[in-house]
Amino acid sequence: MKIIQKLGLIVILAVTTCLSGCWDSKTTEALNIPIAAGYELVEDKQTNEKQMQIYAVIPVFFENAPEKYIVDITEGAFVGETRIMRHDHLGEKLSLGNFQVAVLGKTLASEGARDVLNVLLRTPEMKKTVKLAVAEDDINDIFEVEPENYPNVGIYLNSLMDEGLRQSIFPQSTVHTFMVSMDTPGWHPIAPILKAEENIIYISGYAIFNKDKLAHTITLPEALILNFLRNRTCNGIWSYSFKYKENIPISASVEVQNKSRIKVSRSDKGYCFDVDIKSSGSIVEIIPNDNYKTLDSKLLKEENLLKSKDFLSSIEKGLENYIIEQSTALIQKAQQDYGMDIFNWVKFAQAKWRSELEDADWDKIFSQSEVSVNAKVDIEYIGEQT
Amino acid sequence: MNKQKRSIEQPKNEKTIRGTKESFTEDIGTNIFMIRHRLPSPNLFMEEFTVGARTKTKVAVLYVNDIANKNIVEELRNRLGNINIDGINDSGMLKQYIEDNPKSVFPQINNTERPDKAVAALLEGKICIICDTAPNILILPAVFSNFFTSPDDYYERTFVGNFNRIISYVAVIITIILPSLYISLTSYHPELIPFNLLMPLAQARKELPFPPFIEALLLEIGVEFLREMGLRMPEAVGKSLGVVGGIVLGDAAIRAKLVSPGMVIIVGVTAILSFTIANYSMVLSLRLVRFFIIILSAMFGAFGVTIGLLFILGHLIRLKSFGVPYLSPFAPVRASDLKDSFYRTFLFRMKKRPKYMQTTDKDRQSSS
Repeated sequence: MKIIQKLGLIVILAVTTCLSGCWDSKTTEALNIPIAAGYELVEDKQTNEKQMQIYAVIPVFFENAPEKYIVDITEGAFVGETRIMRHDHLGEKLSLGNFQVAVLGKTLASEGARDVLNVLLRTPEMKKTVKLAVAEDDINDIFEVEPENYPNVGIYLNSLMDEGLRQSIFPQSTVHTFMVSMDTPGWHPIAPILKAEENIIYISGYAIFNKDKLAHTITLPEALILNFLRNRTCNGIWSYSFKYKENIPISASVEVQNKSRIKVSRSDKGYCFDVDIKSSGSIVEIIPNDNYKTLDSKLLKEENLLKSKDFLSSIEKGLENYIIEQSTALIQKAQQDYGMDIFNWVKFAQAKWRSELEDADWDKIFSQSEVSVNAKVDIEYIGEQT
Repeated sequence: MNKQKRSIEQPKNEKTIRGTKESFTEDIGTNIFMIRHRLPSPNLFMEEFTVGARTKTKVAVLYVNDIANKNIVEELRNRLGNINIDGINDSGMLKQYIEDNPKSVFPQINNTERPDKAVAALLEGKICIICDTAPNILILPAVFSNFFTSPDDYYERTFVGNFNRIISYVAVIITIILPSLYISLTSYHPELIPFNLLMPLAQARKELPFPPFIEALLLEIGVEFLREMGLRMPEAVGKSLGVVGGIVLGDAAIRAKLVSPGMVIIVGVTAILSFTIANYSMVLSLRLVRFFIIILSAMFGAFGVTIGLLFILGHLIRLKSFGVPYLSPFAPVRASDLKDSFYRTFLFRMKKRPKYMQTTDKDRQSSS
């Protein structure tokens, strides 16, 4: 009996050792860890057919290597083929678990990015938080940037798209949220547009997609309004101009937190949307438009404006008017020029009349809907007053 | 013959900030006196046994008659009576003859060199065994949580005591799983490592000759050598060599790119934290458990760690100490006993003795 027990133990040990994963372990030092990648369609000069071109930013960890990172460019008929091509010249296995940013080229975004995004989303190692952006010009410009304050362009892109956007009033987009928007009836995904100039990458605007295809682009101020109207709570600094006592032009910067509430109702004429935007915050800067000197002499010291309730209410009124004006302009643009519900307000209508909207052309309904925008701003002056 | 005795000294292995500065000696009479001095109750019973056909070592069993569970006392009498050996030199040897499961890696009988701890155990209904020539006395039955309590937990204010105890439990968890978790993450699941941590880790590991498992094994064995050396060498030499071994060799190994700084930190933290556990026998046991889980993590990654922990949990649930489930009061759960387990409540709220002890007198404080 004891011999059988011993034999059983030996067999179990042998089987366990053979089944163990140590044969296919992937230690960090034996991995290529791409941080960011760019996807673009380019024309093959020989066949004149469009091919997928992928830029991958991969850090180099060898201490004495001349370059601290490489931008690996591969081409293939589709994403899978580029992955095969990558293995013919990269020494280590690719680990996609720490992939952070995906940038779509303009051509790819215009022709449809579904296939690429599907591959990203279906890769099990890939995190849910992979940030997504669109290149304004040639995607190569973005990946050619050699940032001075970051170890590589991948980390630069990640910082810009992660902390940078999270701290700002502008919307953030991830592959996951993009795909959810893309496949939800009536929704339109958005993504920031990146532009590279003189070794600096910045967000130049936002791309609005119709399903997986780039449909329109909007400016940054418009993106800011879009963010409010999409019913998101956001913090950030707003700059605008208004007139105090109807004749003194003043520019103001205020740091505010915005909340919006959207109500939908239905009448014989169609759908009606009531948008209430509430902002509260504090003054960052007040500058009379005509002359800096008046700030010290007349406005601030003699009239002690910052302590005046009238002045504060005119700042609030000015911002309210600005929000309403900008919102109305963007809504009109969406209804008349784009003919698209770029604000995803379909979700409010679906909450009440889902079955009726299943086969309806929501974008058309939205274009004919009535929209009224109200804004309520509460601003206070914080800090020492000189 | 007038026997020469070592005088009463300060505890060396169970130091506390507050509480008595006396520790047991090798003389059984002195040790009994130290307990009687603290617990002058007529119900403190003592039974004498002689163990060892040749050494005739005196063994005293102490318990409070109107508190202790009579069945456990009877069971102990039987086990002591059944020992058939020519001699024992220490209570550690005696322990191995009377434990429920001597093949287990976990100690099932507690030991102490502090008389205050012995008296506290007697008042909980436990039994103390004093073995002549041994400065450590045995306390039984012992449950898993007993090995992580220190007298300071009770002597300090409740919140401070609780904090110390929670720290002790956190240290246990880190001691058991930190190196294996590091191995499984760096070898199998790099995608689970946060981005900002992965980059420096990958960089530090890039030109190393050994995989994380071998690296961990080398360092852990190095720490074991240092610990053994520290015990055997004279105190002054041991300390100096410990510094040389720990700091100088560790630094040299990193510079020579034999090991990564991350692994040195992991093994160092693990070694330091293991000594925050109050009982040295448990420290040694957990060290073996750590090696077991390290091997599993190298073979199966996080899956191996999980399997290892489940296996150990299953083993702990099966263990008993003189019939008392080893994982009491967690398994089986006795809500009232949780008051003095992974935390301790206010002393004035601990009105009952532990239920798992099934004591004769259940009340610690009168209800009035």
